[in-house]
Amino acid sequence: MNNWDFSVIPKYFTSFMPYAWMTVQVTVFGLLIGLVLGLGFALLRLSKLKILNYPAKAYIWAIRGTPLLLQLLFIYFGLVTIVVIDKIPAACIALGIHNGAYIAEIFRGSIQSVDRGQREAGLSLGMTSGKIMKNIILPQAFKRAVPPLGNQFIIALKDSSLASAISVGELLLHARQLGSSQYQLMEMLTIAAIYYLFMTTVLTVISNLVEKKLKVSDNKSTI
Amino acid sequence: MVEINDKYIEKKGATGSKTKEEPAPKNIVVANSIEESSEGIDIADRLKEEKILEADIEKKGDDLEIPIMIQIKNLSKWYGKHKVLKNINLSVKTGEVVVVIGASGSGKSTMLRCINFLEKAQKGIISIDGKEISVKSKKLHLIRQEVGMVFQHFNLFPHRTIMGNVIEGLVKVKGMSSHEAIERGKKMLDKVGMLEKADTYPSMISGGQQQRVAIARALAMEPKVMLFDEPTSALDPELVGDVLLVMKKLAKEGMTMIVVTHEMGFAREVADRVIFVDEGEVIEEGAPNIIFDNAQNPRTKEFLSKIL
Repeated sequence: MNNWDFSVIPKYFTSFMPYAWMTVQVTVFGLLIGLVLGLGFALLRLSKLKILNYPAKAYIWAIRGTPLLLQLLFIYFGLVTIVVIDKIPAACIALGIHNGAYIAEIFRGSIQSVDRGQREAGLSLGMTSGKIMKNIILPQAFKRAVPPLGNQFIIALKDSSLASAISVGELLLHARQLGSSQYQLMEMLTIAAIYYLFMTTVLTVISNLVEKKLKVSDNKSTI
Repeated sequence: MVEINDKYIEKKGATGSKTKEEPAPKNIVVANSIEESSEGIDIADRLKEEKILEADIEKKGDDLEIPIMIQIKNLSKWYGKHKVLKNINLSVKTGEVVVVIGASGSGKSTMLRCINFLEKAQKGIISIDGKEISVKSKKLHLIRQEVGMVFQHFNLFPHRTIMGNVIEGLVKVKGMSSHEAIERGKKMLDKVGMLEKADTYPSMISGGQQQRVAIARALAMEPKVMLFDEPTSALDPELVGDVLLVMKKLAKEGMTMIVVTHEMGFAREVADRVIFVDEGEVIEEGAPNIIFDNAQNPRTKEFLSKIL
């Protein structure tokens, strides 16, 4: 049973590079879409106008309540009668819409955690609500959002592997294809795992660095 | 100098009434406090005060009264069914220092917050510098530029340096160039004795220092009136003095101030008028010596007996 041969890892390792690059691209574009959607829906969710809250609530409810794989298939295969989306953009959009819901909740939480007094201080200086959000609340909220966002980015990177289901040429797809053609699935999956671990480690390190850098102004609270 | 002082009182007396028992004592109150303060404040300060008055008189002309800066009429506010402000009437003259006292939960802070519309009263009229302002106005942010506010918990912006805090409004609201704003910021920070710390962050200075920066931040906007909402309540006792000193200086410079505070020493020394608020109503008002030594209303007496 045990005929694994891990000595082939160096041989195939570099062949994963372009696929890892695809994973990175899908993740980055997905997250960019997710960040925009997340911020937008977080602001809608927090708006004083009730009418604006509902679409945000519905979006978050629907997206968090269904699996990413389903959403992916929905966009790539399901929508085909209305609009044909190429597989790579489809993967980016699905990942973006999916992460947008979680990121919206992250932003909502961090915006709400900014002390009320900050808004009042801004108001008392004569700032409009928009200016307060942009100059006072969001800079503080982003800072607080960094640790959970880092976490969400890592999840998104791993979730990008689901794009293999619509045959986007990313890491996992390559590992499976190479694994079955060479009868060395275990070895190829191991290579993919090394790539994933490397990339998530980089993300963790970056997240920690950003967190540390942003902490300069509030190393302690005196109140 | 004394002559000017007398002249001033006389003038005020001519437009108002001369005796304390009269129902409209506002003009007299100003005069009273000048007489009172001459005992407590040293000569240099007194000279300064009289200079300000002198300038005031010259500016205002002969037969003009000091204009009213804040006028509140029949202000009422409810939280749900609970009525927190009951028909508040208050007028504050330009340059007047009004101290509002009362138990916690009496509505004094709410009243103050209604003046710059951080809280919106359901009923009543608020006028600032002669302009009546509707709660529903879309231009409340313009009104707030003219009304500085200092909060109990300072509410400095933690992501900005001390200088950044002071110039935030100048740059983002008044559209001033950052160079110009920093110049004014330096003056303001110097005024409150915080210029040295301009480049540090709020989390690195003490509460008292933070509050002085908060005062500088509000002053930088050149407000017509300053509101203080329990500015020293969150401070360690040894830090209170510096903040009060800055406020005294402001009062002497002729700033119109409404101060909600539990610092009765400050009220006695600096206030032109003390207002006692209880259960959302103005119960009694008058010159500090009258309120503190000779309060008429039993509720005022009871409150004062607890805290003095």
